[in-house]
Order: sequence, then structure tokens, then C-alpha cells
Amino acid sequence: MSMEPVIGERRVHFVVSEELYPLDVIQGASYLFIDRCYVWLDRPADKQVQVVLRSKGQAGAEELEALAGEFANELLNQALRKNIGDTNAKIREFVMARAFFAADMPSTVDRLLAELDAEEMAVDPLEISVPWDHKAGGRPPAGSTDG
Amino acid sequence: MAEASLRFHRSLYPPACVHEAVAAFSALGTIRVEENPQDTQVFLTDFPDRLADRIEGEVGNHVLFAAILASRGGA
Repeated sequence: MSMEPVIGERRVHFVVSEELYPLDVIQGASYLFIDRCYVWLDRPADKQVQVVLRSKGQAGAEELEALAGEFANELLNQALRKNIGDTNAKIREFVMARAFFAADMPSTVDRLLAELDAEEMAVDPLEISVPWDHKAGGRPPAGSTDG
Repeated sequence: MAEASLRFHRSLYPPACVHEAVAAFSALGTIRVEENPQDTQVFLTDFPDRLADRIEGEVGNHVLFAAILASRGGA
């Protein structure tokens, strides 16, 4: 079995080995050709997928051969994408997790610091936050220009 | 009236995807489905002649699209 295209009337077919191109790669390439031609997949043998491309309009042998060539190139492209996707899967998951969990949520340390700040602000042993006229005696502090 | 038959290998096209396409195209003609151990066969009859050239391919592409969607966790 080989990827050598066999050209017929308005159709071209060839066999792809699943050992070279996994099924999801073949499906990915097929998906991109659905709008240009009719795509059929068949299984002539174990680990083999036959791809049949049938043109939607009239097409000569050269066009059909070019179509098969483009499909073969797309198989390579999809295989590379899958390869890169598999290689970067962990990094992608990590970046996604960071993006989701860090978006609106302050870090734990930031939250604890904010709590400590709030507690410290609530304690006022020198009564700095109390206006002088509310304090006992109601006298302005020395040097004050108020009143 | 046009007629055709199609065969979808089970390892490439889940039967549910074939049935989905059958439901979508049943308004255009008569469709009979036969489930075999290896494949699902679809018989298209009573389709308008002007669709004769396209009906097989359109049903095939529809099933393929559904199969790709299903394999990637879609509906």
C-alpha cells in the first residue's frame, strides 16, 4: 500500500497508513477539504485508511492529482500541529490554569497582608482618628489654630 | 428519481453519526439504513434527479463532519 494517487473520473483515491498519520490527523486534513470536494474514508485493511476525494464539479487529471498532493501536504501539516500540541500540552495547561486562577483573585499572601493592614488600622491607642473636640475636655491641642 | 448506496466503516464513522445524517437528509427522499458488524450501509432512493450527482457526496460529507465532531468531543 502507498500514497500513490489513483485517478478516476472526477475522483482520486489513495491509501494512508495510520502508523504514519493517526486517524485524528487524517480527519483534520479531511475536514479542511469538505468545502472543496466530497471526502470519503474507508478501511481497506487494518491500520490503513483509504481517502477518496471527488470533485464537486468537472476536474481534469492534473487538478485531481494536485488535489491529492494538497491533501498529502495537509496531512503533514496536521501531523506537525498534533506533534507540537502533544509536546506543549503540559505548558498549555499550566498557562491556562494560571490565566483562570490569577485573573480576578488576589494571591493568598496579598489577602493576608490586607487583613493585617485592616486590623492595624482598627487599633488606635493614641486616638489619632478621634477629633480633638470629641475628646475629654474639648480643649484644642497646644499650637492648634482651630477655634 | 435518483438512488445510491453508501457504506460507512464503523471504525471511521460511528453509527450515531450516520443516523444523524439520515435524519437531516430524510426530507429529500427515502433513506434506509442497514447495520452490519463492520459497517453501516445507507440506501438512498426517491431523490430528485437534479440531486443525483451530489446526494451521495453531500450525505458522505455530513457523516464525516459529524464523525470528526464526535471524535473531538463535540455533540
